[in-house]
Amino acid sequence: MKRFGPNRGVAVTIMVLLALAIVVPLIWVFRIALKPPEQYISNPASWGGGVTLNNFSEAWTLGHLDDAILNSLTIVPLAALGATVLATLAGFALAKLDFFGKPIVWGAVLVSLMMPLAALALPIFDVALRADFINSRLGLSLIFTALFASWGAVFMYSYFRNLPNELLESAKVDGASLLRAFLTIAVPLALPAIATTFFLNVFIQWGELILSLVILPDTDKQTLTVSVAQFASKFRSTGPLQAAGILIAAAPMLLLFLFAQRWLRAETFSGGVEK
Amino acid sequence: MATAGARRVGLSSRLRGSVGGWLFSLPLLVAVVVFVIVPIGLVVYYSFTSYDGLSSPEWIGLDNYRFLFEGDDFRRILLNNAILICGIVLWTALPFLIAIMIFGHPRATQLRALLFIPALLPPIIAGGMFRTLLLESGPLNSTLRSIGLDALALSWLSDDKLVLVSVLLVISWATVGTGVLFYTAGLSAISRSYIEAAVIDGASWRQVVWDIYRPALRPVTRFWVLLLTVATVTALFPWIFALTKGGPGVASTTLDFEVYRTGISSGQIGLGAAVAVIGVAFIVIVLLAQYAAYRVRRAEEWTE
Repeated sequence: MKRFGPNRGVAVTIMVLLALAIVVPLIWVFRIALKPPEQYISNPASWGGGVTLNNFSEAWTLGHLDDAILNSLTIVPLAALGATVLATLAGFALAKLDFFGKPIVWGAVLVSLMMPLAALALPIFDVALRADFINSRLGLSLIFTALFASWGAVFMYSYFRNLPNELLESAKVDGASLLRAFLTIAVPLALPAIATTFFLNVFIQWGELILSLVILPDTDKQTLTVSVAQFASKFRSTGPLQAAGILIAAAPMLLLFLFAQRWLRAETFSGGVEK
Repeated sequence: MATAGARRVGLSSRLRGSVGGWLFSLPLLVAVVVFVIVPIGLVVYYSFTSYDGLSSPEWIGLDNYRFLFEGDDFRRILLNNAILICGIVLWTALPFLIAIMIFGHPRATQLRALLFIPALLPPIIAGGMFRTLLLESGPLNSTLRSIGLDALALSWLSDDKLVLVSVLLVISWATVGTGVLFYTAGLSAISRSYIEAAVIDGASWRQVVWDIYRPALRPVTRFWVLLLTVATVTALFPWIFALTKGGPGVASTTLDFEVYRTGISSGQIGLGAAVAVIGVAFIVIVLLAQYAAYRVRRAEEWTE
């Protein structure tokens, strides 16, 4: 049997180069974060030299990272939940229900998906300024819920489309109301998709910058992303402090990924087995 | 939502579906109207005014637009957006080629996991990392100089010709992993027996790639390109903010960033709104062009 595949040597070379391309920048930033700032300034290229954990504690305090993480934790999960709920309800309606407003809802969803956040941030900023909800964390949660529901609606729509109608039909015949059928049949079956929507929403909203910058300018109300964005103005030396701050700020999403992986795997096995 | 009428059929059941449909969609609809539709209306209105956020907006017609198009800066900004959209070609071709090259290799799964790690970093973080590394006097250039490769120690982020290339490459770093995952899923979906039959018939690997993989991956490419387009449109801001703050000058300023700079940072809301409107027009044009290309392609495929 002839060997099938690309030239082995080329493939392996590419794989090694790719692995290096991913790993080297990460390790480098790590090394810089561990370096005493004076040593870094005199020779940014060197990998040797001292090791210190001070940069992490200094970045933590100077960057108000404790407040920042708490703020993001207060704002994002709630907004992600809101967006997911809106998305699941609308996605279900678009996929399974007949109503003459469908084109309107679709239009709203598509327009929402095409709008750059910057274009929306401007008027929202202006209105927030005049209505005085600048520096309102709940306000930002509300804005996130509204703006990030649409992509989830499309996602849930395509999931619900593939859900067979028989279960819902039989529930109707048994006398269940629409809401009941939705909550007891559709939602449990769609749990993996709903969970995915939720986790993706958390990730996207966590990294959102322009609206967070605009709505929460106060240092003690800032999200983690805004805090990181302002490192340059807060830290005296570019390298080690910023590197340390960045690494601290990277941790939450990495942890979220590990958690989501395990959770999603469990759900996929238990959901919808009986059919 | 109590219902005694579940056993009624026909009109009532359709109506119930109708009311239900509206009720289920209402939260999202209201949210979009309040936070998307109304703001767009406001932006369009503001773009025709001179407005600083404090005193009332003053109607000035097309003056903002005239100002933008008469300056050199704005032309460069539009060019920047166009170049970054073209980056989609790179962000698609790379994962496509990589996925094909490593498909089936025993270490491929581990490599794919590794490639995916950058995708877990929010843009502000990845951007910040690379800013630190790519600074003129930073670690990369210092290393290159210390081993005598001074010629390679370029101004990655401060040369106005090179800066966009750097941005494109950094974004590639972050997105290639996700792309590889999508393309690999597409490759895995191709029936093995189909490939085996071709191989038995004497097809070389290259032929299989061209005649089997390539067409089979077209839907993946369409989806991936759409995803990238939406992402470029909505999520470019944190990258620019973290890597270059639009600099040097406006060499890496995108329409998004310019909205932030004029409208929010310097409080010229009217001017910023005009930039925003042009930004929206830009996206609509890009999406229409992609849709047109899709229709043309579809027509071709039917006759292939």
